[in-house]
Amino acid sequence: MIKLVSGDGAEFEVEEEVAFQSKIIKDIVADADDVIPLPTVSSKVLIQVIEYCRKHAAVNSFPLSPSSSAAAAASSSSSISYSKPVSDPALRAWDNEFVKLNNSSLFDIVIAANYLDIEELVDLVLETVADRIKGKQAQEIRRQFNIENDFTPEEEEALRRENSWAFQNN
Amino acid sequence: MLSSGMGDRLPHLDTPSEDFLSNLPDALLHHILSFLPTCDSVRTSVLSRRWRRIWSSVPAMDFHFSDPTNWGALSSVGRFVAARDNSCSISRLRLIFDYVLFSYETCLCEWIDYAKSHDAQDVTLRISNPRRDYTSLLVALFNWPSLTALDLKMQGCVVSVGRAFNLPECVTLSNVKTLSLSIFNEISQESLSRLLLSCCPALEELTLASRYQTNDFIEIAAPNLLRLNLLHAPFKIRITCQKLESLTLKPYFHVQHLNIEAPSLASVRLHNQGQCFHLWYVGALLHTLCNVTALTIDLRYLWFAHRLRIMPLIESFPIFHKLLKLEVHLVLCPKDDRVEMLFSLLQHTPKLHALTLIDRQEDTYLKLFDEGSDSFDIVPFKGLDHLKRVSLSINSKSSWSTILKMLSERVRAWDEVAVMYKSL
Repeated sequence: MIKLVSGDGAEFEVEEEVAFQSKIIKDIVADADDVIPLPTVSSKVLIQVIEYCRKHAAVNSFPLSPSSSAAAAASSSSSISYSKPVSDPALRAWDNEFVKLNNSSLFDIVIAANYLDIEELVDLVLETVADRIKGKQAQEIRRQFNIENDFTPEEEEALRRENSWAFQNN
Repeated sequence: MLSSGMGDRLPHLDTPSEDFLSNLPDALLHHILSFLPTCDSVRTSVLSRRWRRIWSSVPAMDFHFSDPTNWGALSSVGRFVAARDNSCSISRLRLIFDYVLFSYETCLCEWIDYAKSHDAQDVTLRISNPRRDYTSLLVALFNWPSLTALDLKMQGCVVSVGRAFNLPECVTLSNVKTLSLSIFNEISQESLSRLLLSCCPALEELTLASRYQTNDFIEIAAPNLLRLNLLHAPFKIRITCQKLESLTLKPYFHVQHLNIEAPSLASVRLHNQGQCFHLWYVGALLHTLCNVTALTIDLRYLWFAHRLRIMPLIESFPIFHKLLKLEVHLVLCPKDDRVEMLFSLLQHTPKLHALTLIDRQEDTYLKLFDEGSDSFDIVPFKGLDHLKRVSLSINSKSSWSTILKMLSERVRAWDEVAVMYKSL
């Protein structure tokens, strides 16, 4: 068992295979003791991340999807590497439920997942955010994510003209 | 009641006003935009100053051309390439054409070369009706050492019927792990062997939808292959893949011979479009598959075969010693013996953990064959001690109550089994 300590001091005991969904924890455990302080992760977020890792550890160890670890290991050398899309339909449905959260919760999770290096979870959350941007007008996106428009109307108009091809179709 | 003035401010009441999205590091913003079609990605430039140039470093090119009257759309790729930061790589290239592109070669090859020179690893290309000679396109696509995933779909009718799909002389796809090929032409055994054995030695997943010579024995031999999906499966198939773990077969016509040598095979899906597996062949097939842990099988055709021919088959069912997960597609009618047939299969699955039954009664064609027959007597019933989950997609109330009643009588720890219903 591995003990994870959140920034607000809460302790969570988890099985190795659950904690090892995080590559960082896997590396730390290899050469240190089994209590891992995670000062930047709050207990609220850590509970959600552990829930995700527990589910995925259980499914990945099940004999039906023996190759998922091999696929994840084959990460690329480019700036962004993508994890293999989740192929198990039941797990995919579970993932879809998991990310039904408001934007600020999603961002808390993705910052923690990025810090812990849980590639599949980073992909899942960022793709969810992308889905909330897709096909929307700038004004809608700004409203949804509280983005303040600091362009003057003339500057915005000039930008639209500069990339006019992207604003025409669709 | 809220006044209209209050309504305008409502969104700000329950969402914090901090801009979490813009505060994410650039790398994560690039990652988010890489999931979007390129036009959506570029349109984020007007959100705020923070976003102005984020799109230009996104390592993805994703264009979908759906409107043949929009002449300007094709030029957008060139304008995108001209405006982006060309020191940044392109991980993903995705080009989808919903319409026939008559002079596609020049521009397509240019874009492909651009992506290739920017280390693209994941390429998806769908073109319709490639009636022109597409040799140069294939040469460009199939010589790509950095590529790890290729999804190529050439759909639509081919003018010269019977013309074979010719693999270019020189193919270098040494790092491809995932290959999906959907071609209208016939692929020859020679091309297929060369592709699998010498061109893609690292291949782990193959999805193939193609035509085949009617009388050819098609052999799929790939030492590192883990997952194989044959859509439009050939008539005669021999699969020799030592590491193969999962197999999906979707026959288009009768499968006459199926020879599988895959000791690691764990998960199998057999789809059925009409009567695609000969009844007498099913017995042999099931014996080949008796070591799998997950099986999806379509038993619809059994439902209208004559009982005298089915009984020997049922009696010869092998024991599926390792089977944990079974999904059966079938046609159920209330108050008849078909349920008994299903239970005869379940008698051979002692370790079964999860059972899914999907009723395909909506196929009216099958109803023509619907006639009553005598009951199958299958007693005593043993097994199913490990069953933990049952999920049913059966619309007929009486059918599923019959099935549940029979299961509850046969499963020892029925109280602990989770039952789920899904309507079709």
